[in-house]
Amino acid sequence: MANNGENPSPDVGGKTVKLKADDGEIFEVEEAVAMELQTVKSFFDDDGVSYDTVVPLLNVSSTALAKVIQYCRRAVELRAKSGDDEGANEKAREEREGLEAELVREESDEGIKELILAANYLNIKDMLSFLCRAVGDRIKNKSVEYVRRFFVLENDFSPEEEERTRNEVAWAFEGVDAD
Amino acid sequence: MDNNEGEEESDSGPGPDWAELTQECLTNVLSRLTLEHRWRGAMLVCKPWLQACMDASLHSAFDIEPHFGSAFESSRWWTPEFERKIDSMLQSIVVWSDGFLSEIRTRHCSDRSLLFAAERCPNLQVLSIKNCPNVTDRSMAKIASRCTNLRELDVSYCYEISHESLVLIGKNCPNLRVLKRNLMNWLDPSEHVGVVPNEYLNACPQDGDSEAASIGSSMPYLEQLEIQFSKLSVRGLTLICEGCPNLKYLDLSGCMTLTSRDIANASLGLKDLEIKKPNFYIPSTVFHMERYGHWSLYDERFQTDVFRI
Repeated sequence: MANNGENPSPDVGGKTVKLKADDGEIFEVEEAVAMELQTVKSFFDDDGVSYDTVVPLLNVSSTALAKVIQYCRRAVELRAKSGDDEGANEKAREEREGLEAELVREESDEGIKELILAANYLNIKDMLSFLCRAVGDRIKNKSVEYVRRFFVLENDFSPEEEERTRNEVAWAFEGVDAD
Repeated sequence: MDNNEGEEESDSGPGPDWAELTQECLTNVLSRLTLEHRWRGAMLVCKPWLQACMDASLHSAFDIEPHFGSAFESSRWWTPEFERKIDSMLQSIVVWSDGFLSEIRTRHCSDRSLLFAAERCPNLQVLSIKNCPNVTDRSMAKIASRCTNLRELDVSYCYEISHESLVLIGKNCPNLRVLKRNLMNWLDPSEHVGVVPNEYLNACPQDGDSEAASIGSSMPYLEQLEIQFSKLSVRGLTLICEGCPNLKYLDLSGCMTLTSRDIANASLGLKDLEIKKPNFYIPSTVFHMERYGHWSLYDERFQTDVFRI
């Protein structure tokens, strides 16, 4: 059942939805999985939009979309496994955490950024949450310069402004740590 | 399908436009960083990030206790300059929290920032301000009247706060369950000498019974109480036990004016009460994992009535 990011065979026996990435590639996805993407769900919530309509996802690359679909597919599977049983819930939760860790571990910084923007655009809360956590972990002990490079951000402080901010803010923790 | 061409600035490259990153997304990432990481790093990245770091959602708690560590105190922290830094930090956080601040855990702040916090933090539940020589009854009165949701209060080693503040807090904050009012080790102050100013060491409150009476008379729902090195007598202890029927945990370490019999008698009516007794020999090591106290001091004490069991 779990094809890795490739278009599933249409004999899935349920409704499918077609999603189009920014480069035109079309992904055919089971309805349940597609609805994990709130943006897609909203698209179909509009009156009169038939399920045959191809959903254009102009801001998402096919690489990112493939990974998102793969994650959501697994997430839906795992959610189906959990139910009233404490044990099953616990196991499903662990598996999901393992899935998240694996996804994050394999990604380069560029990859993670792309996924965050995709998850943000597609409005997938859970995915966004663990991705942001991963990014936080990656930048937490790094220099200001590193963070700027990582996010491709311009330093828009004038030298005076930067000095002033530094004085007001950065000294705050100096001397707090015990010798 | 080859996306990795290293194009970071063009629109079609793999480096998407981070300026589009929604505020919510950015706040999400920032929330994974500690306060220090934000103050020393994130806030200096660029102006939008500086703004994002001031988002109220990031400031429901101000906790810099971990920076102070548990055992070691630095003399640097007892200077007016340091106190100003802490006040300044706390004030900034109070402003940014926009009324949502629910926890303050710091040391060495003063009335200046605490009055400010009292005015603007009606949702405060936890206030832990140990070692604040310049926090007085003045700001504590304000806290009592404005922060009525207070659940936990730690005013250990704050010698300018009198028992009157305890009464005000008790009467105005019906949710108070935890009170810590520990004093410094006056039996063996060697660990503090050279770090804590001598005048302050000597300003240690002497009347443990007034404080005990205040607690007993105004905090009927108290569940946890720490009064290490208090000089209260069995009279004070009885007032506490009678006035706080829900007490579950009582730390009397260093309360040398109490005997075992005193403690047993006073706490008779309280079920499920766990008491940390004033261990009669308390070397500094037990408390702070540092140097040993002086044996001879304790030898002498062993001879007195205080240790009658």
